[in-house]
Amino acid sequence: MSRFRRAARTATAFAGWLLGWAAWTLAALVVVFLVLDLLPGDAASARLGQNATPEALAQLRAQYGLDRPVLVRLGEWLRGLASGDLGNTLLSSAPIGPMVATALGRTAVLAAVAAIGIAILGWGGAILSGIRAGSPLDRVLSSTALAAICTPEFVVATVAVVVFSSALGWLPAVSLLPAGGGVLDRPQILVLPALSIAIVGSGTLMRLVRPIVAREAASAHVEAARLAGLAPSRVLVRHLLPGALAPAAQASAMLVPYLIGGTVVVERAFAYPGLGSLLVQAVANREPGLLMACGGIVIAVTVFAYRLADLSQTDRS
Amino acid sequence: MASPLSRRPARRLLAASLATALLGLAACGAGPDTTPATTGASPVEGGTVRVAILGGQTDTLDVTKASSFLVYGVALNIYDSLVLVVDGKPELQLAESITPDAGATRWTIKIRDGVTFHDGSPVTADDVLSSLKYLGTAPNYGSMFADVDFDQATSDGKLTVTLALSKPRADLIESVLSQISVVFPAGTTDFSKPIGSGPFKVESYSAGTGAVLVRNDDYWGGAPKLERLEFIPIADATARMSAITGDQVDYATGVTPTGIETIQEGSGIVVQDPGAAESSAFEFMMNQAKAPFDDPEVREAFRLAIDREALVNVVFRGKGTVGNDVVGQGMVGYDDALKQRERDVEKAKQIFAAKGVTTLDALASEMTPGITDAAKLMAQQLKEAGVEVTIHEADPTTLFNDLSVVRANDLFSFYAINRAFAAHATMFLTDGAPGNYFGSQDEELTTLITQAQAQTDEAKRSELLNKAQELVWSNGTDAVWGFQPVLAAHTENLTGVRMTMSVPLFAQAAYQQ
Repeated sequence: MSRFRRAARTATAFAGWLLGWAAWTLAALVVVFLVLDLLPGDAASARLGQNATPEALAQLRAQYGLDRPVLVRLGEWLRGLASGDLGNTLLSSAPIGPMVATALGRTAVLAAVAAIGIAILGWGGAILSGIRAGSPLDRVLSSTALAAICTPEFVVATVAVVVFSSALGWLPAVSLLPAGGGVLDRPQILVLPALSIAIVGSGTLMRLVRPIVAREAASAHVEAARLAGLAPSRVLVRHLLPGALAPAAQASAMLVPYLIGGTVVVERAFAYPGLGSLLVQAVANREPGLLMACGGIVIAVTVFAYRLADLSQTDRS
Repeated sequence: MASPLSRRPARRLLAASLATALLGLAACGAGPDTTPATTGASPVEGGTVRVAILGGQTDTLDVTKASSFLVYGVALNIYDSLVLVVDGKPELQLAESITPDAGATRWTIKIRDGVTFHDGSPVTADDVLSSLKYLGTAPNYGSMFADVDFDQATSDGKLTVTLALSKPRADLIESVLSQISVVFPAGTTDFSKPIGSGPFKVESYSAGTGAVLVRNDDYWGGAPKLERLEFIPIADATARMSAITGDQVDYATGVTPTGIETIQEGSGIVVQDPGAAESSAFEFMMNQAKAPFDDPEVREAFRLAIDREALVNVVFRGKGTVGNDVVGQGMVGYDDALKQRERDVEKAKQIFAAKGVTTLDALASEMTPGITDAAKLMAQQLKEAGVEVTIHEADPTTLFNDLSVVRANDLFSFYAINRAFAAHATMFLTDGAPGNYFGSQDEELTTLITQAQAQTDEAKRSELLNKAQELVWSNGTDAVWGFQPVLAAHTENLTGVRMTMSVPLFAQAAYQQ
């Protein structure tokens, strides 16, 4: 009985958590929709460019339905969202749903590879630094991480291309997919973009996790284990890391939004046809539906990650 | 976002790093092209060309909805056009003849006999008329076809189409049909795997990864040598350059002057520079609707004060042609007799002083890279003539929504695609033309252009247009300072690639052995 009650309570809490996530995401989407509408320029002015005349603009806006009040368009978009219909692009009248899904799939693969890189470099660096805080190794690693954080992704990307593509010729400089094929048909195209994201991202993660490891390393129970003569690896795995895990996980969750932001920049530099490239195109063409779909995914994932980080904090206290 | 009318996206990317250009010397290993001397080399049958071209994930292959160059690149290689401008001159393709009646209000288009679409069905006049209607009623081409009355147009169902115009347009070929006249089967609405009658056929297309084209062995103009084309979308100009230097593609369109400076000697990559014929015209438009540029002498002073060569060297990094105040250089109908205007700061200074001109306001809106740099350099040059120019910057995406922003200024740093003068004049110069942003008025010029539009005798028409060009040169409102070519880079053993509307044509291209 009590087990049932506990399960029910967990389920309710989970449902509440999901509901909160959905509510926050929706609120953010509505704000974004309204803010986008305030920006100068729209799909009609983007399409007509210097051929814009007041009549042509008015005609195209009417054709695109952009002449209707913003709240009407918002309502229509929300209704579409609820029924799973993301609509079509205004300019090319291509369905947005499949377009975004394909791009999201490619981005997810890239982000996953980059995340593994970030985890290895970031956590590895943090542990090496944190367990011997103040040592020369710590100082070298910490300043390297700081340098990595301060370097824009496109600079890292350019350097990576110069070294691994132009000079060594090991990897392609541009991440081109085979015609009609997928990423896994040509996995080598993922290496340089993932590396560029991982270098910058792991710097941030390392700086976030290192103090947690250092604090834990200086704690009484770890000190006691060390004094008891346990092997350093055993101290690390059994005594130090368990205490660092929750706060470090929280720090890692905070990195998810970065992972998305970094992907946008890097995709463009490598001409990788993912969500980031699509988002840039949506902005350039002022495609409201496409922008909301791409932006919506970014927002949903970001809110999810932050709430996850919050959750682990609540659990801990 | 772009029709061939507005090459905005490409131009924006085309010279992405020009903003930091300081002193441009035309120093560069890769000279103004083109194909290497091919002594002893002979074209081989077959081969694939991978083409890096501006494209994106929202593209469909419908040219009336194109937002990037990939769509045009595919279209102009799979469809036949009635007529295309190549090397600055209209060239009949599917059309055998395009002839006006005496008043230039009724045009007869005769197409080649025996041409078939990729599915084997014959190309008829019905297909031609239906295609023209589809193009001419789309938002991005509508204004171009505005004088064509499609309700009165007829087809004989075989090889002849008659177009009725609402006013005389002797310039129909260069101003309208050679801008876009691709032909597809009547009634086509699904462009997911389009059918044409051109030298290549679509094998597959997927947004994001691009289009694969294969040779049309039955092409009426002779089967191409190349077996296969892959159009690969790459939005970023630097990435297109990396793709060609990294041997990931064989042909890259829309590369930047700074990009081609990175090509190393002996890398096997050459630059294709089509010159003014495939270029954008950069200019400063003068506001004739108010003082001081309502005075032709002050306009003359401004044209004498600017240093065109310095502008070309800095803004285009030397990769361009110096302008002479008339658009259409390198194109059919250009009056080569016009004397090149040289800089004369002293004379400019005298006129400005005598007219009491000490300050000017200029609008710069980065519609394409280089517009703002050009304005800033012009301001420095004008200072030497004793005039202080204040530059106002504006957001290019919304600039044309409200022309009062433009009209508040004396000068407008601007660019337009280089077109034949007759076409440019009707779009930008005559009274009430859509691109006559300042509302400048010139009755004599407008009359000359209207007369030329009604004149079907080629010699007489050309005389009228030359007169109009002289007028624009001596008295007009534009200071056209340079032409920036559309640059491409390709592997040196690829030859015979021709360019039109900024995209490559591969019908006659081949690898050399």
